[in-house]
Amino acid sequence: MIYRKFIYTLLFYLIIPSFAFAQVVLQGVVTDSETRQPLIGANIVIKELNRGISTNNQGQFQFENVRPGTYTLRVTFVGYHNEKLKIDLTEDQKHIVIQMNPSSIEMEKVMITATRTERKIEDLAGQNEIIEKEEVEEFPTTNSDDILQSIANVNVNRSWGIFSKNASVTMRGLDAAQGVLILYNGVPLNKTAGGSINWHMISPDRIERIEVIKGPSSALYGNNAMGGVINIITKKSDNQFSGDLRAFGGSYSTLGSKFNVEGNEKIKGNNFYWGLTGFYRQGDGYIIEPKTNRDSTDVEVYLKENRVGATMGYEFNDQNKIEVEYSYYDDKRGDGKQVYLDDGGFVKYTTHFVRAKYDGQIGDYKLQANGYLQNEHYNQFNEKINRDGNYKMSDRNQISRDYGLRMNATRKYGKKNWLTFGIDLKQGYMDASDIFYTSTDTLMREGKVQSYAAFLQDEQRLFNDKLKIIAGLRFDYARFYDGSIYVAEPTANTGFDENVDKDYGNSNWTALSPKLSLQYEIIPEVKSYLSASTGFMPPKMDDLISSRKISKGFKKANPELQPQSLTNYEIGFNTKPFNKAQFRSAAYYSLGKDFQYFVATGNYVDGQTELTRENIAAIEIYGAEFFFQYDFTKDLTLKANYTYNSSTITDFDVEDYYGDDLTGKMLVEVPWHQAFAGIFWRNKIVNTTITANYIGESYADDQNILMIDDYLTVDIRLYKTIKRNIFIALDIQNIFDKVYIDKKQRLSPGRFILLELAYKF
Amino acid sequence: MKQFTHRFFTNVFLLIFFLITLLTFLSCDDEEGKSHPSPSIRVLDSQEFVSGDTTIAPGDKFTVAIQAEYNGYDRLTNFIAKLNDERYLDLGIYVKSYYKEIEITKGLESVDNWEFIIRDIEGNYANTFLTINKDENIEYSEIDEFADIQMGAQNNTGYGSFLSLKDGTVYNLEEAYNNSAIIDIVSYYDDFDKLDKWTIASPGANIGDEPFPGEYAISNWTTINTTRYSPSPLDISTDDFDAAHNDSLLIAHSFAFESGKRKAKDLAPGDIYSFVRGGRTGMFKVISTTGENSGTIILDIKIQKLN
Repeated sequence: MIYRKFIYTLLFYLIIPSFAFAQVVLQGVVTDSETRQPLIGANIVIKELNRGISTNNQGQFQFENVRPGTYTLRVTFVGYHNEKLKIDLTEDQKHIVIQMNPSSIEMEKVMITATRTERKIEDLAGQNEIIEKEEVEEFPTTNSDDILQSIANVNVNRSWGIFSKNASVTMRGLDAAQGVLILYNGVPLNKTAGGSINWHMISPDRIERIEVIKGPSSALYGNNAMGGVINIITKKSDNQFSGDLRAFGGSYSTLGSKFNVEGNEKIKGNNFYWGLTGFYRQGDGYIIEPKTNRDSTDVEVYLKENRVGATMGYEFNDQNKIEVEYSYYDDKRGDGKQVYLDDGGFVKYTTHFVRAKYDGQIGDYKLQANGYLQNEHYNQFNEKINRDGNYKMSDRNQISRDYGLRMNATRKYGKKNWLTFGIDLKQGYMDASDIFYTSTDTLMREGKVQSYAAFLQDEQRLFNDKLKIIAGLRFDYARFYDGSIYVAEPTANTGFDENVDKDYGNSNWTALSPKLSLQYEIIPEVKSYLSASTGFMPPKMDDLISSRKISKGFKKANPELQPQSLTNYEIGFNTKPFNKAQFRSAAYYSLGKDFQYFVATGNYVDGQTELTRENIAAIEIYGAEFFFQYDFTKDLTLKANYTYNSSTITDFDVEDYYGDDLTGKMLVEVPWHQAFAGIFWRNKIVNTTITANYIGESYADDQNILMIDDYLTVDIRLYKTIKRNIFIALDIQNIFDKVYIDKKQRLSPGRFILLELAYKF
Repeated sequence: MKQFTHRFFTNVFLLIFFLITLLTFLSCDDEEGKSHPSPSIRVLDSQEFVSGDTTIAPGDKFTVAIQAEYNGYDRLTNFIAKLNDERYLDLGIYVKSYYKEIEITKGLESVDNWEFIIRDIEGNYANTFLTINKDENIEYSEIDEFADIQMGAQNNTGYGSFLSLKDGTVYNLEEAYNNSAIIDIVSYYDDFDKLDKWTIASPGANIGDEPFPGEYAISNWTTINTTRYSPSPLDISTDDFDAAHNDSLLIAHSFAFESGKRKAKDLAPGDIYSFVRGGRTGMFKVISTTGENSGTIILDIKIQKLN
């Protein structure tokens, strides 16, 4: 396997004796410049020594054994402008007072994902959002995707809580089939095989920040960015040595532990940083089948998972650095059915992930290169009594492998013009087999997709930076090849009439994705923007090569599938209506074409309708979103958002097929109304977060007959750091125990309580 | 001292990083399973069962008893009965020892070559054979014919949804509840579950209580009968169906009860399905469907007479 051949970078070992010199103590206090109140948990880093520390409950800090000299202190704290100051340390003890100025949290943040360069979020056209690590810590989070629910117009579907094998994240009126591009430190996690993401691979404790771009973003990112882009950026240690050990337990006999250890030191005068993380979780689960439908084969959906990861980086100088990361994830989750076997039916993921990144500056060009490899082994073991009373046992094994290289460069021309260009190369592979133990069927399929892309973006500022224009264009080419299917001794289980041993012909597709956005600063507190952008979603490998039975009938593979595409027009306003308040609003209109739907071919396979996926539909989406934030104080924040979406099929070309014409029908699982509100209160007694999430009604089926009811969930997080090293948190998700039924007629878990204890060092 | 300790942890991290990666790259594939012997299967010899080659008249019923044993390692997972190389029965199991009695109706073919196969979880298998010849002195049996049977969907207040094959009477929900022992067929419009639209099923088809809720819901019945249907509409013309006045056509399309489906779904006018209920083979033809969950379906039904 390719990952076995991946070249591991050389280890750095330095054994340099340390000598004792005259040492002094550097101590001080960090306060709010307006209120003079001490700031608890502010981070202070001595840049030259790579030593960091956090302030205690009195806002105080103390570095010991510091050699006399001149140093640069870097001080950071959420809600405040970063401070940088130079100090001269003599042989006397030094005490300093650092005053920090409050800032508006959202508008001062910097993001990379929107333009592939660092830009203040307030300078970007669009409804972009950033969640910082401090906000991640404030949120009741059992999985990394939980926090995305706080973002306007992002819908996270994880109906079984931590017992769901994965979560689907959608944006702005699109359903789960038209996804969002998920980046992890700039590299894509969406698998070529099915476009899905394994969110459990990502540790919420390692998140530095999450950058969210809403709306089609294929002009920079290509495929899968039809709904938008979410980039999860992990921490890099500023401390010489730090970490934490955690243990947690809660509802449904959930238990687990995790550790993070990280460090930072000078090697040959340059910064070397590293991090090691581990995680284990298990839980007995609950029964997902509604009581009225249960039989003796319904059991709890259990889980058992673990994850380890390691990261290291080396900064050659201020402008050039490399970083490598490896992570391993393994889990087993019951599917809620057990007939004869101890473990019953289950789903299991085993994933290896490797990435390497280079950030550098060569001459006037700022460069970035990302290489990655993701290898996932998916195993789905089924045992059940089917609707006709027959016992079925089968085993699906699927290898999905994606690797690639992304490179881009940015250069400034003149004073206010930046040009960014780059290439994306990716290879995706899928190899799947279904073995049926209770019948003679054997089904195998495999295929590959190669994709190449080049993109260009120009950013221009005019009229004293009041007008910002970004224009971008990307060309993608992808080739599907080496597709094949093999079926032996088929029965009604797989639905084939006879043995099959077939190679699919090659096919290819292209996409041209332009984008234009303009942002105009009416006054410093009010910025408006207009944008037109495009996105596309390539066909999934599973639809290209997999013919098999599904719940709707017998699915016939279609290797001729083409990408779905979406064009979005948007207008918005971002304002600071009064001190400590922010208000953002946007209205958008999108037209989609070549959307894929299942259509009946007119044939029947073992009494089941034969279906195939075709590019058959045009859709229209319109909607609006509103976001409001008010900082009562630096420790008390209110956030709220509301969104409205209407997503309709405007054309359904079913002329050559059989089945219902879905023209006029609404997209499935797209709620018309969504709202979020949260209070985030940091205080000396116990930090408190209360959030409420409302998901409106939506349709559960293409014919718009069945509805998924609306629901409201309220979550609470109480957390506190005791004596700087001990951390305790109590999360109560869905405090009012609202149980809802998902699209597949399964129950959500209801109230979920988790208590976590951590030791930080 | 503190600087030395810090460097120690850095070195430990690097060592762990290297070891994790090395172990992953060098991790071995699972060993191939050792090969085990095949399971065993035989046809049981007894007065009440057919165990050797014999001659039987079309339409006559006979029973074959099978005994299979695992190899001591791998459980038995699949039993198959093939008739003239076509699957007659295909069952999933998970046992060490398997006993099965198969009640068979002799068809119209001159020679029935039976093959009985047992498979285990590793794919090893064993088989045994039986030949049944047709008795040329044929006398087909009479059938019951019920024409223009009008049944309602679940919300229809004029026509009942529950049919008895004893005499072709259609009952409403309360009446069916009080006569559950003779109810064989249920009609409803599925706009609440799998969206299968017009469906013919039976009380034992796991419909659930949604279409017929309340005090007289099927789950509260004393007797719950099951009828099974051919997996898809039969490839015969409505003229052939109309012309059948003995059980020859019915016998030709009979099937093993366990291999049938619990529901005939998404019905349209002209669809013809065979069914098995209580050891009797039958057929129905859809004359018309009108409306949805308050609508009606009209059927012609033919079934072997009760002995």
